[in-house]
Amino acid sequence: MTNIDLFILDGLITAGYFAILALSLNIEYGYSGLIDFGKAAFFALGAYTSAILTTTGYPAVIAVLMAMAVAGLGGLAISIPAIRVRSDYLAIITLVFAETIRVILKNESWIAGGVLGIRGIPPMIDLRGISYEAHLAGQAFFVLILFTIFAIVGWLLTNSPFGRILRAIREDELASSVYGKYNTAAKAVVFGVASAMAGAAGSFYSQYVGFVSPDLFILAITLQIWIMSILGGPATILGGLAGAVLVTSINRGTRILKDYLNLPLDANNLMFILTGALLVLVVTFKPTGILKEGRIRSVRR
Amino acid sequence: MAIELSILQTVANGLITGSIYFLAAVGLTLQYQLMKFPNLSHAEFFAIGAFITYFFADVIRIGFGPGLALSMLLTGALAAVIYLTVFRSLISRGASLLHLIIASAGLGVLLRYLMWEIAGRKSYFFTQQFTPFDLGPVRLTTLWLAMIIAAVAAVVSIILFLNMTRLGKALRGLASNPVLARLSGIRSGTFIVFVWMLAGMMAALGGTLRAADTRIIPELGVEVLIPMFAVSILGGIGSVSGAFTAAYILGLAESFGVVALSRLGLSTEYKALIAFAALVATIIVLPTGLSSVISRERVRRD
Amino acid sequence: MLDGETVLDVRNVSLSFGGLRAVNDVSLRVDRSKIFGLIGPNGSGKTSLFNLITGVYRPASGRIIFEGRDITGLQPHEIYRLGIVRSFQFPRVFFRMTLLDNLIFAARGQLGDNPLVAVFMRRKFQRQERGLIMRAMEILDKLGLSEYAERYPSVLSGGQLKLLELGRALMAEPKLLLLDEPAAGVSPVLVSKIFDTISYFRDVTGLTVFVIEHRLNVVEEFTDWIYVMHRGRLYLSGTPAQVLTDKRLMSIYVAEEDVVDEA
Repeated sequence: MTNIDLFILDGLITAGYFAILALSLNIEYGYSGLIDFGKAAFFALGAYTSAILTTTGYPAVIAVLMAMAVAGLGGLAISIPAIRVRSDYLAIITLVFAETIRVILKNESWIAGGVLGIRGIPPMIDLRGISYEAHLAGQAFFVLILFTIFAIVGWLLTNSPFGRILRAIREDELASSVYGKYNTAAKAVVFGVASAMAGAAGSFYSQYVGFVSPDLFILAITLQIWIMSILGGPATILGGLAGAVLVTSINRGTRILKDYLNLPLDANNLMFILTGALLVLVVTFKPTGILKEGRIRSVRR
Repeated sequence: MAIELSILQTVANGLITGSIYFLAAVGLTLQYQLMKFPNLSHAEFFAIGAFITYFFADVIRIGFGPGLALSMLLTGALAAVIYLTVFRSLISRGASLLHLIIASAGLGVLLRYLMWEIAGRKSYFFTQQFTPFDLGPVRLTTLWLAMIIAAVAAVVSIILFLNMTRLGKALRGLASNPVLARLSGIRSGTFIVFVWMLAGMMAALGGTLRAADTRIIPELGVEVLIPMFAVSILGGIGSVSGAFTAAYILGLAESFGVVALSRLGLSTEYKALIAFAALVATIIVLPTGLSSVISRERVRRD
Repeated sequence: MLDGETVLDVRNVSLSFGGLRAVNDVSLRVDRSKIFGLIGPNGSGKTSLFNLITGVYRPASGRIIFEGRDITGLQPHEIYRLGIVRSFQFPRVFFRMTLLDNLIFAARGQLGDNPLVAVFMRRKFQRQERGLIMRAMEILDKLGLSEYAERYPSVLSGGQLKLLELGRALMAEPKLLLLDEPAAGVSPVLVSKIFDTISYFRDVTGLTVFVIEHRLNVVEEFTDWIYVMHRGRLYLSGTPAQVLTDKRLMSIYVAEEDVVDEA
């Protein structure tokens, strides 16, 4: 494989992890109408939990489970005050939550390495002994399996009576409760599950890149996930994958283009400037995304 | 004796912080009530205002005061332009609440990274000096005094404006009942532009003063992001007096909290938790904010 | 009063919005398996009363008793589970779900509502779901909507949406059905269809109906007892024959110059 192939493969693997994040956001927003601006926080909570555990000798399985538990419980905790009130409050609370965690982690050296983060995270699938290509291929296969598992779970959840409740909540909460549904409980479940999913993604992603840092928590990352969700099609299972591939391509493409055209800009800044612009453009011109919402397939008819 | 002095100093510090929080939040809370969505890009005008002041005060060298005034005008104009170009068209296309929030978030990121690109990752400083002085046992600087004066002047003039002038009363009517307001012949477009301008101006004022106290960096707004929202919600969205009260409550809580943290040997960065806790507590206990306690508006169990 | 078993007992309930008394010390009773009508001019508090009964609002004073149990202040979903189902004056169907899903949504005791069952025990809820589909199709059939079963409500006309709203309420197997103007703005042919369907289900299942309705001829033909509300108060009550010939009835409709739209 050439360097370009490896570059593309790395991009695809990254896209795969973000696809899981976008999928978790699709379940929260696309299907349930919940506005979560703290997605990056749960991603990073999972990543950090996993990093701390694996670098202190715990096996990968424990690290992943703990990552999901911490992120999931965090999601549940933060949802309790917010899901009973209006959706814009949910947005604010998740946003502020993520920011608070980021500020604290950035300054707490003893637990999480402060600004530098944690390095030297061992990979869970380690084929570096064979070759770098094999290692990447192994990681790619790994993320593919992970995404498939989460996609199946997401599909089952949303194509069921429970999925009907989510869609009802999205559209008209009063009508939903008048027909006996426990809206608050359903929202809490969604938040917990989606946050745990994000935590798992964080755990697996951290073992791929080998380090974690507070830069994982920034709002701009959450917004990238939002673009992926909206662009791909928010009320779909595969929309997140489409969105993730698109956005990752744009990110990487920007970097290449900048080098190629020799633009006197910082690549990171440029990428996020485009992220912001893209976000505004997407909600203005293509708010329903590429893939369309399908019927609820609770039984085969 | 020493403890009394430091209590007074802590109170003074709390009032100073509260003033900045009020200036940061007042624009947001008015915008929020009028537009029905939280403008997540508001924080960036804090930094933009500071940079524009810096540009005129220290690059073009017209002085701090004139620079500040000019910055307030320009930042207000910029905010209005952003409303006219981005949000007005979104709203006319029937954008949902979420889309508006997202667009504002995207805009905020765009602005901040643009600032990083233009200004770089270093800190800038105003050349203007502020002399410290003692007011009895309390140490102040002219800057800190200016902050308090600015906040008080702002709240007084805004409240007078909203209650006394025709424009202001129309604005209050518009915020509470847009349909009725429009029917009585009020043209909403101008008013909305006006509120955005006001928000930008207040952000520029608060941002410049804050930057003069610390330093001018693109992250200036992010630093007050959490308090800004906590104050808006604790005070009650759309309530200027509520925001004023909440800002000082939070400022004092943080000021005493910082003292407590350092006594306990903890990092003072944890003060971010105070604002966060205030926000969560408000949402759980009194989602309509302090202002509703004054006006008693609770019927629906929504 | 009719001498039947009282199913719903509303005692001295009041509700205010700011300074406005939407419901002012209202007391009434609804008897089992009968159809009770609630009439009155716009703004007389009828929908607010329904909102109180179904837990959307909490009464400032008074009690609401259903089948001997105090339901004052319960949440809407708790009230549903006790057997009270309501329809809305302006249909609140879900436009991003098919008609069939809209109906099935209203059914009680769905095992698949539990997320764990949804993911890990598919067979269990799918068996139930198939049964619900059949029942929903029967209702859609009765309402003349079966051709739209797998389509979205946006293809329906205003009258058909009202039918769907009714169908959804019936799917919920109510003990007490609160219908808020189920035939408002609907063609005369559909009006008969709606009320015939209501009567049919009442005869077959013994459910109790409390219906807000504007058209006095409809009320006369289909109801067993009528309550009249005016400016938040209970103004008249009696059999259709009694109420509809009462001179006082006309006076409140004619006098309503300043009509305030109910929220």
